[in-house]
Amino acid sequence: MTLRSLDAYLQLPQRRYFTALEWHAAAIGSIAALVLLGGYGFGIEQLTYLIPGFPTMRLNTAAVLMALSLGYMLSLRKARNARYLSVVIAAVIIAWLAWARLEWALTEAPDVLATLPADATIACVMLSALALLLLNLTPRRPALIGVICVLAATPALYRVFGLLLFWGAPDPASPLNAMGLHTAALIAWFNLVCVALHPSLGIGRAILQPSLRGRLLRRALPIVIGLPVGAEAASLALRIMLGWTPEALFALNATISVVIGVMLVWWLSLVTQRWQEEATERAEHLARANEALEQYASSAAHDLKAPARHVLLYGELMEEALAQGDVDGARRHAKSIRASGLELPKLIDGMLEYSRSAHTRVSMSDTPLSEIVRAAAALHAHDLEAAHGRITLETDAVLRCDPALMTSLFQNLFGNAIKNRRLDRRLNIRVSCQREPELWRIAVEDNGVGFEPGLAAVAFNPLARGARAAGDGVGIGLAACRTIVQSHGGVIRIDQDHAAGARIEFTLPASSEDPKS
Amino acid sequence: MAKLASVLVVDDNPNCLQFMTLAFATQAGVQVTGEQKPRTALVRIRNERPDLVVLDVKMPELDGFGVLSALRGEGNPVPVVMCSGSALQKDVDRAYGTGCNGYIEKPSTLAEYREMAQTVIGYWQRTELPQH
Repeated sequence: MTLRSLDAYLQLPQRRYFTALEWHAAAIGSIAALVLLGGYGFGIEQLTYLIPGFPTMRLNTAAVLMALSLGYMLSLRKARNARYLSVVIAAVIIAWLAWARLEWALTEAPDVLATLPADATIACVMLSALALLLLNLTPRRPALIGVICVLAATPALYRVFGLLLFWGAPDPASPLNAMGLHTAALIAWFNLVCVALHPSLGIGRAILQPSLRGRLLRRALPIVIGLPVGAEAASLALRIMLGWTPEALFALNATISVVIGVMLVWWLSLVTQRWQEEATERAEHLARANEALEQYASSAAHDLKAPARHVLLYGELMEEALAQGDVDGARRHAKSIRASGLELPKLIDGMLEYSRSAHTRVSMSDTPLSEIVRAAAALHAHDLEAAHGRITLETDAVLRCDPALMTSLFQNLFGNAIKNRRLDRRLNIRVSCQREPELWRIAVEDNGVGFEPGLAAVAFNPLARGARAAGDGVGIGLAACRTIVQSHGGVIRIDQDHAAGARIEFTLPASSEDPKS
Repeated sequence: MAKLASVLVVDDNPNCLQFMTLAFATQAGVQVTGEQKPRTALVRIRNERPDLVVLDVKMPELDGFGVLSALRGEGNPVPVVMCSGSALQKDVDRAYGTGCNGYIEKPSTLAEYREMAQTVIGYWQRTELPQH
C-alpha cells in the first residue's frame, strides 16, 4: 500500500517537489559533513577562529545528522531496498544514541543542568530518527509522525530563537549555549522541511493541490513562516540597538502576535469566502453547461431518430400498398422515404456546424464591421438576388473579434432573414452598431415574419425550431451564433419589442483604445 | 359494445401525425383527428371536447408540457397521453407531475403503432377516467 501510494504520487506532475526535498536533505548532510571533515582536520575551535560563523557542533552529532540526511534521501527512492536501508539507518541511529547516553550516564556523575544541552540535542536527534523510521514503516499515520516532528523541532527552534534573542547567554549550562545554535538549526530544518513535507505524509500534496485547501495553505505558508522570523529579527534589532529588556520584548511580541493573528484569521476568512463564491459560481456555470449539453443530446437523439423511424414506417406502408396492388400509394410512400432520408444529412451537417462553432479557437484581430458584413453577404449573394433583398450597414466600427467566426455569425443571421422573409414585400436587412462604455451593441433586423412570442426563450437552444420557420432549417444556426458570441465574451438576445420582423442584438466587449464612433 | 371515442392527436411533425392518426383510425369505434399547431390544438380541445388527447412532447412555440399545464390549469380533466421520440425518465416524471394520464415512446413499426393505439383505447375504455 505504501509503495503504491508513493507510486501514485510520483506520477503527479510535481517531480520538482521530490528534487527540492532531496536538495534540502543534501544541504543538511553537506553542512554536517563539512563540520565532520573540518573538525577532524583542523579542530572546531581553530576553524571558528579562522572562519567566523563556521558551523559548530559535536563531531558525533554531525555524523548522526549526515546519516539522517542519507536515510531521508533513501526514503524518497522508489526502490523497496532503498527504503529498507533507510529503516536500518534510522534504527541504528536510535540504538546508538540510546547506548551512548546510557554509557555516559553510567560513567559520569549525573548533573542534570550540565547535561541538559546535550540531552536536548540527543532527544531531538532521536525523535528525528524515529520520525524517519515511521515515515518508511507506517506512512499512513501522518498525525503521529507530525507530532514527533513538532516535538523534535520545538526545542530546536527554541534554542535557535533563544540564542538569537538572548545573544551571548552567560550560562554555558543553559540550553541556549552557542554550540547548540547550528545543531538546533539543522535539526529544525530537517524536521520542519524534510520530514513534515515528505511525500508519504501528504502535507506537501495538500499544499500543492489545486483545490481550495491547497490555495489557502499556499497563501498562509509564507505568513506562518515569515511571522516568527520577522518577529525575532525585530526583537533582536530592538535588543541590540535600543537595549530593550527581555520582558518588554516578550510583551511586544505577544501584542504583535495577537494583532497579526486576528488580522490573519480575518484575511483568510475573506479570501476563503471569495474563493467559495468563485467555486459556487463555477459549479453553477458547470451545472448550466451540463444541462444545456443534456438538452442538446436529448434534442439530437429525438431529431435524429425521427427521420430514421419515418423511413422505416413509410417502407412498411409501401410494402402494404404493393401487396394490395396500390402502385400510386407505393410511389407516394417512396417519395416520403426520400424526403425523410434527406433530413438526416441536413441534421448531421447542422450538428457538425454547431460543434465547430463551440470548439474553434478564437483568434482575435481588429476588423471593420463593414468587411465582415460584406463577406457574409457575399456568401448569400445568390439568395439575396433571388429575394430582391438588400443589406444596409448603418454604422461602421472596428471590432475586436475573430473575423472568420463573426462572418459565420452574420452568415447565419442573414440566412435566417432570407429563409423567413415575407413574400409580399422586398427583404430589408439592417445592421447597426452602437458604442457603449464597455461594449459594442450590434443589431441585425429584418422585415420578415419574425419570431413567435414563445420562441425567444428557447430559440438559441440547439435544434430549436419555430413553427413559422420556413422549411429546411434544423435549428442550429442561432445556437451556433450564441456559441460564437459567448466565445467573444458577449451576449445575444432576440429583441421581443421589435414587431416588424426579427431583431437580434448581441454585444462584444470593446477594448479601451477603440474609436468612439 | 365498445364506447365511441373521439381522439385528437397533436404533433407538429406531419409524418408523425400521419402515422399516429393512421394507427388510431384502425381501431373500431374511434374517430381520430390531427392537429399540428399546439395553440390551435388548445382551442380545439376546449371547443370540441375530445375523449382522449394524444400529445407530442417536443413542439415549437408551445411544447406538450405547456399544452398540458394550460389544460390542467383551467381545470380541464380530458385524458391526455403524451408521446415522445425518446422517453427520458426526467420527461416522464415531469409529464406525470403535470397531470398526464399516460406516457408512451413513439413506436418504430406500423404493428407497434397499431398495438399502441389498441392499448391506449383499451386503457381509456377500462378506466374510470372522466368521459364527456
